Amino acid sequence: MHDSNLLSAVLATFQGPFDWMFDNFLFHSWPGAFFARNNWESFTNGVAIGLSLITSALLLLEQRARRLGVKVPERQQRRIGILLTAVGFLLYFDFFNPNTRYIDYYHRHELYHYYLGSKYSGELGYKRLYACTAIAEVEHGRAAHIRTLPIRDLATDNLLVPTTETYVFKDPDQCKRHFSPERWQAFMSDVAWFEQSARGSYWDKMRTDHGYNPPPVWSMTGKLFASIAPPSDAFFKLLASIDVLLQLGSLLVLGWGFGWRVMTLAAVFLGCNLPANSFFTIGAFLRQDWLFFFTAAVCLARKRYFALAGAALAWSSLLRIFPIITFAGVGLIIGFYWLRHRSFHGDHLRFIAGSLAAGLLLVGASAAVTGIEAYPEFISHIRAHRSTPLTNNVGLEMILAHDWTGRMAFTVDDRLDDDMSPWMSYYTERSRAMRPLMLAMSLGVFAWMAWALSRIKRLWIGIILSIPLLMSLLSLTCYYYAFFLAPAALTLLVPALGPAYVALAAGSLVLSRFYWIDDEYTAVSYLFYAFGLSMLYSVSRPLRLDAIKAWWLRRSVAR
Amino acid sequence: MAARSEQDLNAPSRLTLRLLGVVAAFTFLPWLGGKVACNDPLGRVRAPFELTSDVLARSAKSAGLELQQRASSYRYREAAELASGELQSELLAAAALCDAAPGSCESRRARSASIVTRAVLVTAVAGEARVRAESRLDQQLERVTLKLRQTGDRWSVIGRAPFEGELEQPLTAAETAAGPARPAAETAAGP
Repeated sequence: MHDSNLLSAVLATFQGPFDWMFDNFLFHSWPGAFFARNNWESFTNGVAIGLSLITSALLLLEQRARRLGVKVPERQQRRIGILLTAVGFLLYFDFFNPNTRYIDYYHRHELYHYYLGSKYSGELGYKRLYACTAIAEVEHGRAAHIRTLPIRDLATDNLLVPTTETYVFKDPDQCKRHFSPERWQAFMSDVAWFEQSARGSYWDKMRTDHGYNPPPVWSMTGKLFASIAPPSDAFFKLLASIDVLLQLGSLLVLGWGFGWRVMTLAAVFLGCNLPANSFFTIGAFLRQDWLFFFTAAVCLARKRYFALAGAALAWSSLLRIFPIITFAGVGLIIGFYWLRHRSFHGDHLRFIAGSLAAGLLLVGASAAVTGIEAYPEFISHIRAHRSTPLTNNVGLEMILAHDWTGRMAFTVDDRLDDDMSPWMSYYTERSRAMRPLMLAMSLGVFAWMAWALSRIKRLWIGIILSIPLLMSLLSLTCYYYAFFLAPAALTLLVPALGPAYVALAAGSLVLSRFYWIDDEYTAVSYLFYAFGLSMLYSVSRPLRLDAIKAWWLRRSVAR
Repeated sequence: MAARSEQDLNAPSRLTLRLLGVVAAFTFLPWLGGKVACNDPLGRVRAPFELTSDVLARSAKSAGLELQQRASSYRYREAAELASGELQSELLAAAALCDAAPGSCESRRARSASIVTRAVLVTAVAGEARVRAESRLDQQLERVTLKLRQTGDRWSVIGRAPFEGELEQPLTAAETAAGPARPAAETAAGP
């Protein structure tokens, strides 16, 4: 009762002037062949390549005009910048053309995982989402159908197995004992809603993905939103719209922190790049919260709100874990300062205090909401998930583990229950063999990063320059490469980086021409890794032999 | 204003050009690679790659299908890798007979690429499974029902009996009762 009142109140805010936009413009098909999915995607692809190359060319022209002493009115530049920002942002969403998106905008597959996963996080944990869904379906009278379907076995080896081989039929109590009778009824009803809204092979394949994986801090906020109301089209549209606001917020916060130029470059990158395009995450539920806090951390550090910057980076890290690597750059700057002065700078202390306070608060609050056992369970689950390679991962590991023999083209085998398992086995073996090289390269990147940051005092640069290390150490799913919005800010320090930064987006789109996904994301990994190292190169002082000799001599004399 | 040389102007700077060059190179070279090599095999039929018995044994259907394909090609020693118990002993005995008189076995093995096998998973409950398979060579058709047992993550075939009927039909009482046996067709044609 309380839930439905709250939902009514929330929905009431979208009545009146928004009705037309929501009911007619955004959620009904646009007529005409030009707006049909294939044509529109070809069009937006062309626009994206064009937009990034035009922006790159405009930056080159601007730099040249400045050197020539030609004055282009700032107001005119800003107008162009805001236009490019708007086009870039809309391009990310395919200009909100409903023909290219899911019916009613929200992504059912995502909502199934994240809505149910967070709402019932206490009962489902990280290993029971698929099995409990299948058991609920069996109780809904669909046992004969469920028997014929495969399921990803999240509880053991993360492989696809026939549902009959799991505890779904043998011992359903392994799931149900975690629910109270009322909660089980509510879960059954939610599952029934999802089944009806996604009926067919789409629903049948829902349980073959990789489960519910966010950390407990995400589960905490996810649960907060998911518990507002039961599943419905209207409610899920609202949940999915949060990400749109968070992405807009990420751009606006960059504008606030670094000015409209940086915001424009970030918007063009967002709208035009391949790995972090909207394909996987559009219409999702709270998928962009980490991005907002990550960009906010960079901007807050620039604006000298160091405690808040630390808190934002800690929050981002607790939401998706991997941003924790970006503390390395900040740590190096703080470490170098300490080595020089044998004391901590006040700004640094504020950053550390903000990070620790936010970390403790969020971990404590999430443990209270999801249960303290959620943390060990998350760690064990994410270990299993980490050992399951994905074809759309991007990073140094993908570069090293991918070779000709192990390509999907040769290893996918339709004869197997899990046709990707030979690819996964080969990738896992090869990445294990390549681990020493990967660690050596990561160490090299860390040393280069230390060299680049040794004379830099600004903490926000440390966050951004940690990105090459992040790419070296972790192989992340492509859509997390949205963190590449942050390097837009680096163009303020190194304007020469600007044209290449936006051209990077066009380059990645050109690489979408690969037929096999693993080939495509390996090529993307090469491109982004090369750009990441270029960022270090552009910020580093030249490492010349005579400079090293001079430094060594000075050191000897000092002794 | 006096004309300035490009060197004085330095716009775009060397660094800008280098960085653009990196992006261009890491876009163009992989794109070219995709064009001339990676996407190329799409026009050809992909050669099936070898799967080890361990990989095949991870699923009941794959294990059953592969055992039937190997046995029907008279590759008994390889078939035994996917079997256990009495059936494994029988297959190894058949392999020994082949070693003793290789003539007929070798001629059959030479035609193994022409033997087409398909399989259907009939049931898989509590670590036991039933798979039906049929192998076709020219006009010869052999249908068998296979009983499998799971140990850890590995399935092995413990029984193999001839089967009359369609692969997709429901499980018969005879199948449920059938123990390890060798198909009559094989006994007649094999060693």
